[in-house]
Amino acid sequence: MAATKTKTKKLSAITHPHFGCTVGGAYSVAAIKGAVPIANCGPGCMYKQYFHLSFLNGFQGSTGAGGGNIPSANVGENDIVFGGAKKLDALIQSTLALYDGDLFVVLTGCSGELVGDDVGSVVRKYQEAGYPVVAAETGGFKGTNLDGHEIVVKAIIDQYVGDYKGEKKQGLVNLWFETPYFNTNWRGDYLELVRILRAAGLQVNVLFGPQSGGAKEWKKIPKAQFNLVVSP
Amino acid sequence: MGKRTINLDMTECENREMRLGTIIAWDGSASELIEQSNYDSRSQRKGSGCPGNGSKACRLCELNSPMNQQTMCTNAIVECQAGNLTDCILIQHSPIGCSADNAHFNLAFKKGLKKRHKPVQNLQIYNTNLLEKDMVFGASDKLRATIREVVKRHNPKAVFVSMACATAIIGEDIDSICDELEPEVGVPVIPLHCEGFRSKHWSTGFDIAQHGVLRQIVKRNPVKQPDLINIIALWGTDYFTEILKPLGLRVNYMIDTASYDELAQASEAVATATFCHTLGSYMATALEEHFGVPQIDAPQPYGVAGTDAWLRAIGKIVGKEQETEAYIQREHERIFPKLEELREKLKGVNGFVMTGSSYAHSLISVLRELGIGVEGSVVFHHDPVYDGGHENSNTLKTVVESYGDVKHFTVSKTQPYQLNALFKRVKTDFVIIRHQGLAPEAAKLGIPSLAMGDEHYPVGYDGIIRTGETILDILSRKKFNQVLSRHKRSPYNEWWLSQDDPFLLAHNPNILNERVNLNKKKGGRK
Repeated sequence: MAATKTKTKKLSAITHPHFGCTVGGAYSVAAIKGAVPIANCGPGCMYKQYFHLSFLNGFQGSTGAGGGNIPSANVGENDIVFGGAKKLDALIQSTLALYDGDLFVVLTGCSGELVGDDVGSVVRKYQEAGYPVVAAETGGFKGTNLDGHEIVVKAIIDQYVGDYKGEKKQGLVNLWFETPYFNTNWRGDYLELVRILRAAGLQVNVLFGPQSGGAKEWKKIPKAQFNLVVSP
Repeated sequence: MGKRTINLDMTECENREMRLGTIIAWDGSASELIEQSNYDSRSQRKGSGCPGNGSKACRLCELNSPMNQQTMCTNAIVECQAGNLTDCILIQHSPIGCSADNAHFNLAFKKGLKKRHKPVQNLQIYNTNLLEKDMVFGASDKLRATIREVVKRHNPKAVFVSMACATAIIGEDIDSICDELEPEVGVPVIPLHCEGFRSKHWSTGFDIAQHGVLRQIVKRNPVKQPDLINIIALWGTDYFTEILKPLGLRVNYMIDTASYDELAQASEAVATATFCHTLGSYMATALEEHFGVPQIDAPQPYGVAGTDAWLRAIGKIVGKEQETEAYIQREHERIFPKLEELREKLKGVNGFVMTGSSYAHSLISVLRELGIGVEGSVVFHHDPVYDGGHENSNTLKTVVESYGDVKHFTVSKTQPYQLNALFKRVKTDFVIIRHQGLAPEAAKLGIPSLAMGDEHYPVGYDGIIRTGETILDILSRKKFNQVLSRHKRSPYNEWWLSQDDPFLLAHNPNILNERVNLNKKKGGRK
């Protein structure tokens, strides 16, 4: 968030923004095969991110649980006044019942973060029962969808992937590359880079997109020999 | 002037669910919904306590499902209304994500300007880009600085300021900031209370934007223009001019793509009409009650019967009844041969409509006019009564009375998880959808879907022909959709896809506890 730390008295307002906000991290989740984002935010938040990251970004459509399929708490006035934990609980439960997913990521937007919903405790209940649910604190005021991507990745690694103390696997590489959806041609970039790496004899944890093995592949992250960071 | 149901003294407008009793989840037949809505008694009692008839509960029964999917919010609607004016600026006082769909409305705005034969320009929306420290310390200074700066940069005729969830929760007082800066910048600074969590249905956003325009832009001392008619619309193609020109009327489109002056002259018009009562009834009623501009008391101008009645109602207001009759006669003679031809081609075809409330009613009329069967339909919300409560504006009743009942009439807010079950219980060859998240999902289920981007497409007599021809085009890609449906992976599991009731979770919430058991240890699912 370097841009926000400038000392000059420039106008901070933005016109024609070229990024979404942190809940846009939902699309990083949607880019993982078998992962389902659960949006714990206002009714329009996901719609706005969808337009920015997918619909008007080269019409990437709605793949997997993205697009119109994202479950959303659609936080209303009652949830602001009385708290939205109960609604979120019911939403997580019905998402687990309806969706075909290996990983569920709850993304909390501005409203949930500001009214102070204890999302962690709601999610912990499911984690303790063995469901692969992860909570990410992505209040929209925290920054752009790139910040959201980081928050989501960190949340998945901390809460889903977990610790690993065993042997490293020779030739296994974690590929940290473009933020999914943000670059219109991200799928093509992944395709080519993965081709090159595989041709060089490496095994690649692709993590996002069609070449990836999906949520299960994330479990293999700690086994890798090194992290290959191609895009900062 | 009779009683006033709309209060323009307040900066906030009353939510649709409070004003009209709007619901967002219901399932049954159209005729049942008409009966339960009880339009007539609601419209009589409007503004004075209980809208029910005493023996029944006041509120329409609503299904309550624990599952919700992404929809839209009032903030987005205000963005597309107040943000799409040619010489006014909208400032979104919010974190940056609330402006993420600016690109979409920029596209809609440019297309809209082109369709209305105006010079194409970029939309003019600023976002105050609120960050974590603004949430803690408040952001009023950022807003003040932004208002001053946009006035300096663009010299707009008015500045709108819109609220978001975050700014509403931290308690930003945009009313007093607007009041404070209005004398300084010298143009109207209009607060719009459109925080996303505010209403359960986004269409309240239309009312909020219209409320702001009515309060601070529309002329208080109008000089009547006897040939001007207000059409409350979105960005649709300018078909209304060609429909109304024979009656000697000029069209004043509001709010999208309009200029400040066009909005200001709304009170000078001879009447107000709309392509969709959901969108237009608030503004039309306020113009009627506060400015003496009558609204057209008729169903919407779709299908032959609807267009006839609509034109007659306009003819009556402007005192051109005879000309109107002759015009209707001419138009009938002109389109009937073509209509017959289309009916022949579309024989045996069934359709499905999924759009906003009263627009869906009209699309059903158009489809049935073309001889297409409509067994089911989804509306994104249902208003049991419209503002103004005019007797002939009850669009759902009109469609059922003119063309028969719709067996599966569902009120549901853009929920793709229900699509599979919805399509199971009806015969349908295509679906018309006006929501961008849904159309791809329907297409993936193997049903050709028409995302109707230009909402004026089915308007009037020619609209029936236009729609019929497009449907023929859509039907020809059935094969593509079938192939697509074989190659896609659904995000929903087998169990849900095998269900027949789209509202299962609302009818039987206990089923969730059977499916997701929190006492079971790891690997309990499946």
